[in-house]
Amino acid sequence: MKLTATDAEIKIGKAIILKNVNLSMESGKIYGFVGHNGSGKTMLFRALSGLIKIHSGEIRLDGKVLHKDMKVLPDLGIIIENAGLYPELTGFENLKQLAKLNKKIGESEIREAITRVGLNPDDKKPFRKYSLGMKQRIVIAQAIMEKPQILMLDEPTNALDEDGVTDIRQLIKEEKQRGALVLIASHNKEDITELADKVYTVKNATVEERQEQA
Amino acid sequence: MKYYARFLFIGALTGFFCILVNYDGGREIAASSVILCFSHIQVGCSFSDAYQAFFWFIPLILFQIFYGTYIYRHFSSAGIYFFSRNINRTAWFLAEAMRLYVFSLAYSAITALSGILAAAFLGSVSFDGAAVIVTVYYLAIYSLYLFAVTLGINVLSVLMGSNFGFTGVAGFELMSIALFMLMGDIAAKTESQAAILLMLLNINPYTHIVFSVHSSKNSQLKSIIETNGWNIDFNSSVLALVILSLIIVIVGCIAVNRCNFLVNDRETVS
Repeated sequence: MKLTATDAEIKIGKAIILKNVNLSMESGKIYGFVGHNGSGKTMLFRALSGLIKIHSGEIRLDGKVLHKDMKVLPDLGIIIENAGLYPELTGFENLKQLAKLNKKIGESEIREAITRVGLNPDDKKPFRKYSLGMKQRIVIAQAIMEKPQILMLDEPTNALDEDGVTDIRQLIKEEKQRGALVLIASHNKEDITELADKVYTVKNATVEERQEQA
Repeated sequence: MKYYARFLFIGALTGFFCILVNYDGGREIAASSVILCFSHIQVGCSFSDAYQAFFWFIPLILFQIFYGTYIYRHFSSAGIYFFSRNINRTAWFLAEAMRLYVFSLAYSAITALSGILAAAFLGSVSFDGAAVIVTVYYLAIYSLYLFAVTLGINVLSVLMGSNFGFTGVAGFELMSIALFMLMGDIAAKTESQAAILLMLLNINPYTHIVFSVHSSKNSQLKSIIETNGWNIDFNSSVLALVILSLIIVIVGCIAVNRCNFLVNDRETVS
């Protein structure tokens, strides 16, 4: 599987967020995106996933063009910084609602995903009563539960304690080993140095490749 | 759903309280009279009826407070994870709107039912023939009104933020009530003026929930509603509110397809 962006430009109104974005990414690898807060990492993920339209240029997945051949990337697991779930439902109920949309998995896979991120699938607490760390873990669970081919993780270790960071990093490595194409955006350099095969810097409205990491 | 279903209980308490405060106990009251209380029967086109108008509006405003950001919260908090799964946004919105209508209908029914229970508790309630048709029109009109304004708050919140959603719609409702009461103070001098006043009354959403300005050819309804000359037709009110609801649904479908929360949204239920 190959995901490419060619001369993509992302705008909000008249403001250019990112321009001349050129990317080529393959499955079975982890791509890291670093940049300061507000540099455009989250917007890049929204654009690559299809959640927002790019102003110009093209995003392709195995030759198919986003917004022409498909509305959003198929088989995608994504977390976006500070996006949540339905506040009044439990974590399990939320994931069940989401799983119903594509009908790829059942309750056992949902429970497995919740357990993998270190939470209790039988917890009756509604999402609105979760701690920040629990909220982060459950949204990671919703991203991985359907074993998607593409994973986009925006600040995946935000709000996690030391053990949580270790667990989630291990989980991301397992997803790479499974063959997923993984994109991580993080302002935490350690996330990137430990995980990424290739690193891009998001700065001054551009996305530039750093030298390849081993 | 469970979390939002509990607000129906508050609707029941409100209905019970409204009748408790207004009813002289110890006598028999017809069920249709209880339903008419919730249908703003005491409200006329006059500012002297302002207390009645705002008192019987309490159950309606509470519903709007409880459910006014129901869809907006879902859209702003979890929308990304639904829409990234290639769900049709219009289908998602219509499903949420349908749930909101079910809550509107249930709330209207529970409020009136608890009012009847309050009347039975204080005195006794007789079930007259007119109760059925009054209840049907009450449920149809009030569920549609609640649905339309509450959906309007949600849609306006998606478009412009939840602060504006509430204040915009609440302000519009206050203005509608004030304009309704003004109608009684304006004396039409010519037929065309009278026609204009009637048109203004008909396009005012508040008019359609005030049963005191309605009339019907149905003999049972005629016997319990004293027409005061405005003669707004019940079926026309249902149709007007259906049209209003459809317009808001269409605007909502467009809004969820075009809007994205691009900045962090901190409005979650705490």
